[in-house]
Amino acid sequence: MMKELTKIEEILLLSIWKLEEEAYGVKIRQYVSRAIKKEFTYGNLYSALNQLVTKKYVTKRDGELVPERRGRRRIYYTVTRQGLEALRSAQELHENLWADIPKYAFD
Amino acid sequence: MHSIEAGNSVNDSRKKPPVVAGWILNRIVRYNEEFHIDGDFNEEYYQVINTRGKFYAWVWYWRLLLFSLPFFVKDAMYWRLVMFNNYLKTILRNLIKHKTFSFINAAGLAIGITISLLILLDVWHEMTYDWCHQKSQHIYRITLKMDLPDRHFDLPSQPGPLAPLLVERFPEVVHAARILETSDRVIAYEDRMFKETKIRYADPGVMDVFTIRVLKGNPKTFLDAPFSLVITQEMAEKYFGSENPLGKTVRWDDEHDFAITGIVEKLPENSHFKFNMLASMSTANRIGLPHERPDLWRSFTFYTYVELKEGISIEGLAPKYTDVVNTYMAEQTNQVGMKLELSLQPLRSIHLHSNFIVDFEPGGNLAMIRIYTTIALFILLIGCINFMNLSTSQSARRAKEVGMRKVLGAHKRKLVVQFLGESMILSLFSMILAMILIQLLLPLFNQLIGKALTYHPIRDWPVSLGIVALTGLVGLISGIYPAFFLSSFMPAYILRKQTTMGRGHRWFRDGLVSLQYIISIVLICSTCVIYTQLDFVKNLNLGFDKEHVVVIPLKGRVEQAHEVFKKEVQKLPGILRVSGSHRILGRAMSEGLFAFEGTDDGESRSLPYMEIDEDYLETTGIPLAEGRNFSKDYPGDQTGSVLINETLAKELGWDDPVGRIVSMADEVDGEIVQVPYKVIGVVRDFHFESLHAPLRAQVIKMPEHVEFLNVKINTRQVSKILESIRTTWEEIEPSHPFEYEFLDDVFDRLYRTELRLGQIFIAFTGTAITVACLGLLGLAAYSAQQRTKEIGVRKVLGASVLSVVIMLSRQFTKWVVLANVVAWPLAYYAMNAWLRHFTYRIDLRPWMFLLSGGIALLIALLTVSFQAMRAASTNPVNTLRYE
Repeated sequence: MMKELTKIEEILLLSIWKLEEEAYGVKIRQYVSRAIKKEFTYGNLYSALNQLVTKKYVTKRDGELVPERRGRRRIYYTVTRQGLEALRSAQELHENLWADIPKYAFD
Repeated sequence: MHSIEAGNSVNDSRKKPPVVAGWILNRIVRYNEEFHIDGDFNEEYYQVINTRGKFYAWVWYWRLLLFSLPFFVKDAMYWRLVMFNNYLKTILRNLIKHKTFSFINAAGLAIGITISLLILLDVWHEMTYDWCHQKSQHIYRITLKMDLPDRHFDLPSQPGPLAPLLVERFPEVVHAARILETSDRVIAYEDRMFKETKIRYADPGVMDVFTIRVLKGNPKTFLDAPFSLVITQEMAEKYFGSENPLGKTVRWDDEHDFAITGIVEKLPENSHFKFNMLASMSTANRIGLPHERPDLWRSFTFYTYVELKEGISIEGLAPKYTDVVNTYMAEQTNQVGMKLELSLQPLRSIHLHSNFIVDFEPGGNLAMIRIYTTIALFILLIGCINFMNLSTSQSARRAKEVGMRKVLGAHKRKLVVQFLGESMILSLFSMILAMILIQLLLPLFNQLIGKALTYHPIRDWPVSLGIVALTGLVGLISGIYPAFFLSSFMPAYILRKQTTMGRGHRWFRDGLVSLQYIISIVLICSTCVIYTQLDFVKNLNLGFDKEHVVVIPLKGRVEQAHEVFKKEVQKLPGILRVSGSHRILGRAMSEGLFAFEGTDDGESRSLPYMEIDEDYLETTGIPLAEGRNFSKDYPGDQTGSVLINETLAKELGWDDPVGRIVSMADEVDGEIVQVPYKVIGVVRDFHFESLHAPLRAQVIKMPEHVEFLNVKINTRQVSKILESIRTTWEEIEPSHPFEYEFLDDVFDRLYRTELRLGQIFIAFTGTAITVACLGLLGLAAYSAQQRTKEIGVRKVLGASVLSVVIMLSRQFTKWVVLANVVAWPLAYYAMNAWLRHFTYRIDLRPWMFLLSGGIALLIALLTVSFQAMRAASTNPVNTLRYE
């Protein structure tokens, strides 16, 4: 059985998917920070991102050299097929769980 | 696009990202080679700087970095741990796989560390003398240079009244204390009676100056009143058992009663003055001999200590104190033309840096400490060399691992760290082994050096610290060469060809083996010379017969009635001859000022003299060369006759000494007078002192006080004879225990230092040779293993076992022979320097060097051929069938 995604992993996967061609460190961090409405640091980002790489939910590829990066390449991330499957099962789980909760529960 | 705006700011030096923060980031992140994180930081920084300004961007950068750090650090640690685990696993696997080599390595290092540690303990013990006193750095002993017209004295003691004057006159002297040595006394309490050593008279001030722990009694007052006695806990238990000793009365030499006023703890082994009992100084005023009176300016017998104010410079103090002595002693100094000069000796340097003829105990021997330390370091070096040799010789085995690691991206630096780590772990293991060995060997070592050292890992923390430092050093020294050697392999070369690397480094290895043997041969040689010299000294004809002479110190009534005792002893069976003397032959001599007939008036010489009765020459077998011995038939001999030795006669140029007049300076009622003596005979020269010094001229007269009885006994039934003497003693003097020693023991003890040195050299040499052999054994095993196939082929083609053994041994023996060539001059130089301490010495002979070289070679050969035999006697079928 596939292991459940953690919340951070789910957010990251969704962000990378959404950012498509723009999915590299700076953009992902800014996107996630905006989404969760608080500072998401590079430490948080890369410790989770490395996990995703190990689990083969995302792949890395070298990007272009830009002057303000002091010679460090951008690394772009793309969600893999397994990543998408994991996202889908996470969504299913959510929907299954929420389906039993009446809409007015928060009122 | 934003990249254009950013491009402007990149070139603007004022907009550079924070340097320190950037550096931190790089240090941490570099480990997992995710440089792009640094890029992310920078890229975003320029965006922030363009929208929010420099200061905000700066704060933003730091904030983000600090919040990110925990994650980065965790990540880096994780990878480091993974690598560390891997290294540890490889190291342990390697150690276990090659058990013999690991054992040889560990054992060699462990022995080296153990020996060094034992020496370290001894050195620490010597260096920390008197550190037990809290104020030891402000305490000084006052020493004295005394110049007389014809000689010079260095004394560690002062006239009695000096100490109180110093406290009174000089504000920098906080406290002062005097200690006076006294002879051994018989102390009795009820039926318990023992002879006690180390009894001192002491001022109440000793409790202020020195740190002595008081167990019972009031330290402020317990040394005030006359006839007060403060004793150590040990003494208290000996005399009083479980009773409370305070207030009890003990009898002192069957003459005086002393009250026990205090119990204190014994001073530690490494303090220059120790005591069993302290008697109050005021007692010395009552019962002391004239030179023991603390209120008189006449003799220099009081050890005087001052505690100076903290932070006072001692410069210029000594001359002020000298003035005090000179003012008070002006009369005496002028009379004999004596010059006095005081100086201050720091308490902590008393043990190692002073060498007075008279002192509480003989000072430490710095030269000896240096010799020990050097040898210990050499043994350690031999152990380290083993490690280096065995590691490099095994390089072929490790080559593939190194190649693989390099291919997988290990830097040279990482490999160096790995191999150093390996040697560190091994030396750590050896250290644990050494700790166990120390516990086992310490009693043996104590016996060897004649001390009572103890080691407690926590209490003696400086030693423990030394152990750890030493272990680290050993790991570093023995690991550094293999580490650089092994890590420098080229992966492409190693992985393609299966070469045995390290052939180019053979010379280095062989050089190291030679070095081990140079050290061993020098040690064997030194041992050989030391023992030959000791043997020479022991068997040298001293000019008299020291065998079977019992020396009995006379005490109490036996001393008063020594003539009676002498007659009684003479009557006993088995006694050949009995004679009385003032001192023991071979111990410190009395010195006197003598003037001789025919020499210029007033010119007198200081000479040693002996006081013996008419039977002494017979008892000790000293022959007369001329004239006659003292005799009862000439009553004038007691006060008017002397014998001289041949050396004196020769020095004076007297052809017919008999009948000449010798006069000796003596003090009668405070006046110096010349007492004339007639020379009645000349004795043949005999060595009355140790053979370190040349034979001196001496004068022999009859004794004023007989303090020792010398008994020549029959060689058979020694114990029975001694028992009968004891019975005779106890009939006359039951309140003093009977004691005796043998004259030859007295003389043997003159060479105690040398004897001890010899024993230590034997122990060290044995260890060094063992460790060196261990290494050679390992190398030989390895070499034989490498040539397994060659040996097989040779045997198939008809080589005999012997020829194979010779072939394998030749390679090593060559280096041992070469080691001899280097070792001999070194040993010659060292031993010549040592022998210079003796006036009567052996010459260094070639056989000593040849013998030690031969021993080393033999041991090396045995070691190597043991391995070679094993390799040579294997069946070639087994070795060649392989593959």
